[in-house]
This record gives sequence, C-alpha cells and structure tokens, in this order.
Amino acid sequence: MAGALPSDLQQAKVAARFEILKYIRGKKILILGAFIILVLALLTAAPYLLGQELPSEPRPFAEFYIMFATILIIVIVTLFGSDSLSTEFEHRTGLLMFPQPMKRGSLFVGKFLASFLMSLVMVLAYYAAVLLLSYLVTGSVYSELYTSLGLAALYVLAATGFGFMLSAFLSRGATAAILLFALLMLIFPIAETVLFMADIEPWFSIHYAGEAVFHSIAGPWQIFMGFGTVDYNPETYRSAAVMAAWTIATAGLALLRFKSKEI
Amino acid sequence: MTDPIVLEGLTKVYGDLTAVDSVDMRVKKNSFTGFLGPNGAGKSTTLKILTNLTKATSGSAYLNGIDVTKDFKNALHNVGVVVETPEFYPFLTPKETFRYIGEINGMTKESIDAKGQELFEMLKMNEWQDKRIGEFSKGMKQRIALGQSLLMDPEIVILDEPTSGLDPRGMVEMREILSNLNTSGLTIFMSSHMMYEVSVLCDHVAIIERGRIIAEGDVEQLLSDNGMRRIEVHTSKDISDQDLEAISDFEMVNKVQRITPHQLQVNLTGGDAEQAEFLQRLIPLGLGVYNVSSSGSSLEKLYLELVQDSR
Repeated sequence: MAGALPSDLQQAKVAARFEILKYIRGKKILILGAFIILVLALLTAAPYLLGQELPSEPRPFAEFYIMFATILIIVIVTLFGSDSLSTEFEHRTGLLMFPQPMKRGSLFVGKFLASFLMSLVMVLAYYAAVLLLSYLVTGSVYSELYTSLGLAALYVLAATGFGFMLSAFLSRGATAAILLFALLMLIFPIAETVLFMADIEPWFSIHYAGEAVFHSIAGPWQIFMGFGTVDYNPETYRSAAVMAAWTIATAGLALLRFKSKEI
Repeated sequence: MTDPIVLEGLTKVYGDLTAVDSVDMRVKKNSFTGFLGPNGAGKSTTLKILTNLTKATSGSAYLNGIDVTKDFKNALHNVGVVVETPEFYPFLTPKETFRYIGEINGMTKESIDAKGQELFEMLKMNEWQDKRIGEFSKGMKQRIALGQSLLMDPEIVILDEPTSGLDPRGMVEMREILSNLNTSGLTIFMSSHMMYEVSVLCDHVAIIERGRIIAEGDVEQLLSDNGMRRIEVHTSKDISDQDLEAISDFEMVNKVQRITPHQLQVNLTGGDAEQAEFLQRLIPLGLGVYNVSSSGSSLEKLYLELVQDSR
C-alpha cells in the first residue's frame, strides 16, 4: 500500500502543511489578528484623540507606525515560534511522529517553515496596512519602508530560530514562550544598556540588530540612557548579517538538540 | 536473514545502568510475539530502539533486514508502530491524521482515504473520523493509534503496552481488535506486562529480565519444555495418596498436586503427544475422570519462575 518513501524535503513540506493547518485552526491567529488591528487602531486614533493629526509626510508617517514593529514581531514569534518543538515531548505527540520513517530533521524543517511563514504573514499584514494608510494619508510611501520590511522578515527569522532553540532545550512550551518574550523585551535591552555604559556598542545582540527594523527608516538616534547619551545606530547591513548569524546558530543548536532529545 | 525482526547484541547503557544487555532475539514471520518482563527489565527500551525513539549504545536491530540503528528511515518503512498511548495533534481529525501519516509514508491521497475508510469501520470509528481528536477519550485515541499503524498495510506491527492506561472496557475492545489482526498475516511484536493479555493474544513469547532475554519461543513449546503445560483433572472418585504416587511416576508428569479430593493439577512436560499419553494412562487408574481442562495461569507461572530463577 505504501509507495516509495518521499524525500526528506518532501516530508518536510508535508509536515509544514499540517503545522500551518494547526496554526490556522488555533486561537493564536485570532489573538494576533485582533492584536494587530488593535495596534493599528490605537496608533491611528491616538493623535486625533490628543487633538493632533497623523504625520503628513511619508517618512515621519512610516517612523510613527514602525516604531512598534519590533514589539509586534516579538509578540508574534512568541506565539508562533516558542513551543513548536517542546510540545512533541510535553504532549507526547512525539510518540506518534518519531517512529515514522521521517528524519527528525525533516520534521524540524517543516515546523520551522510553518512557524516562520505564519509569523511572516502576520508581519506582512501589518506592513500592508501601514503601506495602505501611508498612501491614504500622505499620498505616497517612504522607500525605506521596504528595507524595513526586509529587515522585519530577517528579525522574524532570527527570533524564530531563537524561539526554537529555547523550545528544544526546555521541556515546557510555556516556559520557552515566557523566556523568549522576557529575553527579547527585557533582558537583552538591559544587557545592551550595560554594554553601552561600558562604551561597547552591542551590535552583536539579536535585539539591537532587530532595532534596525525601525532605524532603517528613522536613521541613527542619540539616546539619553541615564549615565549619558549614546549613539543608537543599528546599521542596516551589519544588523542583517547579525540576524542571519543568529538564525543559523540558534536554529542549528535547536536542530541538534531536537534530534538527540529522548521522549 | 528471513525473520522480520532480528536483534543482535543489542545494548543500551544509561550511565551506570545497562538497560539492554547484548540482546539476541528473532521474531518469526507471521507470529504474534509477546515481549514480557517486569518494570525496568528493558522491554520498553528495546522497543524504543526498534522504533527510533532512542539510540542503541551498540549492536543491531533489523526490521525486514534493514538495521534501524543505521538506516531507520528505510527500516521503519512498512512498519506500523504504537508506543504506549500516543497523543495526537488535537486540531486534526482522525481522517487528517491518517493523511498526515500516510503522506509521510508515501501513500497517495486516494489510497489513504480508501484504507482509512476500511480502518475506521474495523475500529468502529466511522462517525468520529471528521471530529477533532482533541475531544476523544483515551480508548478512542488508542484505536486511532492502532489505525495509523495499519494504514500502510505494514508487514510488521510493533506495539508497546497497547492497553496501558485504558479502562477495562477499552482493554477488552483493544484485545478484540488485536486478536483479529493476527489472521491477516502480520508479524506483531507486542510488549506487555499483562500476562493474561499475552496468553490470550500471543503464540510466541520472549521474556526479558535485567536487560537479558531469559526465554523465548513458541508459547506451548516453552510451557512444555519447562514442565508448565498445566492441566486440571476432575474425578468422580476420591484421589488417594497411592493414586497420586502412581501419577507422579508417569515420565511426562513434572508435578502433581491434589487441589481437592476430586481435583488434581498436573504440570506436564512435552507437547500434545505427551498429554494424550498421560490421559491414556490416567483412565485405567479408575478415578472416574469426567473433565480435563487447561489451566490458564501456566504462562504466568512460567514467567514468575523464570524471572525468579534469573535473580
């Protein structure tokens, strides 16, 4: 009855398809959809509620909306990319999947693709809304918005790799999700401040590189950090390279752990 | 190498503990082999190596002639597996789960749906095939687990404690399904610690203790070889001490015990021929034998004695 076994890549595609089905049928997509609409509504309504108007020039308009894009990415990846691996062990679905004639590497690739694509679709939806609003309000789109979108896709990729790594090493998905969120929202920014105090630019930090999503539009900023003013300048190409390196390193570690972990 | 499952020097070491110790074993084609052993004896570890859930420290485990430790992907092709009570993705229906597993195994959508329908009928899950598994009871999930293992029409099915965690009704239902499977020419290798289950379902057995195989073979043969073919004899007349002595002198009698003045329990060595000869020699003693029956607890007794002896 069973035909020839599909290749590793074909099996990864099958796994990705069913993982995406999981996300589509789950509550996370609804929560994130509502969250994105809420963020857009708040940002759009806030200036009017305060008696002001939205920026009328494309660049400040883009800055205004993309300022919160990194937070949005962290929330999205936390929901889509932090428990995908641990659930196989935590909920024992691995007892069904691991004895199948499919390499764990294929299952990993399928899961990674599904997580990344789902997160990317949500980010794309946000950027599409910003593009549309920019046309409606300013009559055009700031060209660096597309660079920002590319960097956002890279940040999603790097954060997904990081989330997968935590998910592979931790036994509970909830712990991995909380840790991922705390690291990207709190721990890394604190560590970066400490490094700035020591006069070291934290260009190698995944969070600092991720800030290029905003600074590719806004340019370098001088930020007062209590102890003094620092040049906050996550450069576009360097940040892109850092995020690519984080993706490779964390996804690689996640894969190694996922392959060797026993259920 | 014609046997579908062959273990050669299979060893698994966890730190200071040798969970599986140089196990050599063969499972015959079309047999239903029970894999018995106390908790911690190494049966689950052995099955986990066979099903790619853990790596062997050394040795080989062949499925249809392919070493799982070297090429698990091809070794597990055409092998159905149920390990304990696996969980399913709750957002999928049984039909979608079959599609997922089927596509991974290289089946076409048409063949998955056709075989799936057949299995849903066999498993009495027809009306549930389009409901999400998240709502299912443990017994229903176990039936789906068995179904996915049979989806590819495998030549080998490996079952690890397939009734563990089920309620009594679920156990009975699962045993009924399993007892009907063996007629279809499958080779089934099932670990269990439930002696009754093994004695009802299996024609072969392997017993593992402290990581080593201490007995294996045809159930009847094992019982015979170890003087464990046990029968109960009911008589209409009192059984005297002289009668007991005469019976115990029969060369095929391993042990004889008077349960009541009209009932004996006899452990025989040998097979059917020896049992027939025993009966021929028993009748002339004039005890008024009106009933002879097999004692169902033979396998359990054998198991306990073998495990005890190995310690």
